[in-house]
Amino acid sequence: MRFLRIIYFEIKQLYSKWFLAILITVLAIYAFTSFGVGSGNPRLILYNLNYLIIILLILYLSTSFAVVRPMIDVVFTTQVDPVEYYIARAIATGFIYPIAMIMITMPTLRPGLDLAYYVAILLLLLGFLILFTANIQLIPWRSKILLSIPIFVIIILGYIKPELSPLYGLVRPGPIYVFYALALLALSIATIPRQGIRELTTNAYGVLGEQPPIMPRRLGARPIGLPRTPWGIAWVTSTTNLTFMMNSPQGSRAVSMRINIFIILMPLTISFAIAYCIVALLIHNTGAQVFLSSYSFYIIYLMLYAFSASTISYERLWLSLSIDPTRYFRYRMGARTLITAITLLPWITAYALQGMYFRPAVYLAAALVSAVMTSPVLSWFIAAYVGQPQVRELQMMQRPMMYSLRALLMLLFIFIAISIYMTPYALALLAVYYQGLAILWPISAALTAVLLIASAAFLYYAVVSESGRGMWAWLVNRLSEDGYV
Amino acid sequence: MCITASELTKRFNGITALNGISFRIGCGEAAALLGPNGAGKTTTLRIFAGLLKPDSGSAYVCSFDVQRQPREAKACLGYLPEDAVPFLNLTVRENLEYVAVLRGLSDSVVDDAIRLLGLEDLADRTAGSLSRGNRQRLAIALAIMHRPRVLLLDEPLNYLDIPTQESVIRLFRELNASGSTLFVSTHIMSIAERLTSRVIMISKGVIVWQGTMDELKDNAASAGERIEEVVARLMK
Ligand SMILES: Nc1ncnc2c1ncn2[C@@H]1O[C@H](COP(=O)(O)OP(=O)(O)OP(=O)(O)O)[C@@H](O)[C@H]1O
Ligand SMILES: [Mg+2]
Repeated sequence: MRFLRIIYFEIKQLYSKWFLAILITVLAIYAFTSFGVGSGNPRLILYNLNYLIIILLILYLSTSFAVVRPMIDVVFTTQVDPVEYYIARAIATGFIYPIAMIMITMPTLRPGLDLAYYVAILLLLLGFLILFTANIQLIPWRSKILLSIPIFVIIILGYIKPELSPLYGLVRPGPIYVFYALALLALSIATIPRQGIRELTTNAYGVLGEQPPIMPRRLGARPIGLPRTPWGIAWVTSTTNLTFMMNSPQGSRAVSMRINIFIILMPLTISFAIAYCIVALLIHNTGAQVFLSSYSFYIIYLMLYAFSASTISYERLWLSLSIDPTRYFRYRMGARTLITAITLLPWITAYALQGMYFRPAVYLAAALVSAVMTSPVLSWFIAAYVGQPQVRELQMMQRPMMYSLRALLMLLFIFIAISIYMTPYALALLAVYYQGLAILWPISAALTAVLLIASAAFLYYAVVSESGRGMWAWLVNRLSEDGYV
Repeated sequence: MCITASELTKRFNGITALNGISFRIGCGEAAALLGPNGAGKTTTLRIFAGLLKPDSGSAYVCSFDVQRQPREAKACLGYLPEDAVPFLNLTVRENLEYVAVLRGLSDSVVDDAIRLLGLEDLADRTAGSLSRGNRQRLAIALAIMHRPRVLLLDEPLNYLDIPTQESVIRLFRELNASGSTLFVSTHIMSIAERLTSRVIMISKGVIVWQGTMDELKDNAASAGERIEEVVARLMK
């Protein structure tokens, strides 16, 4: 009872009524129209489930268990059982997974199916996913990788040998999959980082609050003294700030360090881009090329927006805007665009290289260039519009991010934007598959040119031209309303 | 004894915030924790609230070791942090209801708390939309709603308007009279005088003076100084 009420209040903090209402309406309509339609193609359903889990994994690996300020100020000062609270909070956070999973698997449901097995497997798998991903989030980096191995295995099995993936139970429910899911749930309960949770609740200010002294030079930090030009300051403060979880003898702690972000980002993007090129070279099947290129683009694009938007939380209006806001944001955006361009250069190159033997990929390279020019600016506007909270003391948000109608609208916007960016690529694919449609090649090229020009014009308007003033004034006002100081 | 510090030490990257402080506060007493900025007052209160682990030494609340028996200790205490942040996405009433759930209280305490802090008109506003002072009122309501045996207050009157200050002082005194132990960190001497009868003064992480409020007043009277001047001298 108490447990359920904790979940209720946590959900209330995370989701607006409108958000849930719309989501459930869409789900209901979808369920009615798709019931039984897809039972012939369980593999496709499984791919979609896998894809959902990949997105969740990226989301959870790249963020840490969201401790917000009232958890420390209020929750941890009460006698509530920390593990009970942790599980309740994890369930509230994962409250939208079931909606996604039911939506994806609904087409395979048909009258004759054993519904009891389906429901049991769904519930058990949800329990597993919700808890396991929360566990991954809470533990420090080194163990994150280790703990995410089971998830990687599930994903890989889903592609190679679907019957061995637990997700297959949702497509072809049966008693064996019930036990399989039960075992996974047990695994997630066993891996709850109890020690870490206890430590967090009895030493919150120690775990989260302690800041190390300024970083040594070898990590590429500028020790002291900022450059004297506005551009120099914008560049240095944009490139040498990073917050992450670190291991220490006392356990994990969130630290914000002056590390040059390229030192972290470049090896990541370069190595993934090289791996991508190698895989793309090895496969000859066009279908596989399509799959590889479109999925990777999708993931890069989503991550680009997620990372790019997150940095707005660290803005301090009262300091930064002591100079002219327009000037400030222009410098900041200039720096951000440059950082994004440098970081994504390996991927742009990778798509261009792939384009030499799989021509449509060239259009993804161009699309990425367009995204580089627009996402640094747009992502901050989206974050401000949605109401992303500011990070204050303890490197912590004052409130959880709320899933609202606005968030839904912005999600829609991001998906429409990616569809537009991918249109030339899609047209090129059609031309590859249907020889008669060769006319689509020049159309793709023309559309790409239009998108590049439009993106460049947007960048010019926002960062260079005087007339972008009104848009920055809007942003400042919006951030104030969101409670930024 | 309701509050006991035994040789508490806490260092942050080489800065010593607390350097082995010990004191005891009896049940039902009211004590002020005074000290200059950066003296270690907030650090001390966080250790007692079970939100910070001391490097060495122990803190006991209601005879429970805060680190070893955190749940028992936390059941016994109420903590008002400096610049407390309630659940900003919930309404005032939901905030109180949630804490009632977390602390296992009946729902009737919610209305009591709303009445005690005069939050009736704000009950259905989200906490994020409150002014700073009203947010502080809510934070006080959250800290006292279970009538804790030990109440830790860090700058409790910050942001409050004058009428609210008066009613909150009255509220704390009533709680103290009905048996709650108060431990208050403040920079405002007049508030310390009105709320407490004992003084623990720390500076740079060590106790520099301790005694009763009356002794402090006598010191001031005999030196012909204001009480703030005496305190300032002691803190040096
Ligand atoms: N998270 C932290 N990391 C590093 N140093 C800290 C941290 N928290 C506190 N300190 C240091 O510990 C010392 C004591 O701080 P504390 O906040 O307890 O002071 P205070 O007495 O409450 O001061 P004030 O009157 O300004 O509120 C200070 O020197 C402070 O800089
Ligand atoms: Mg303080």
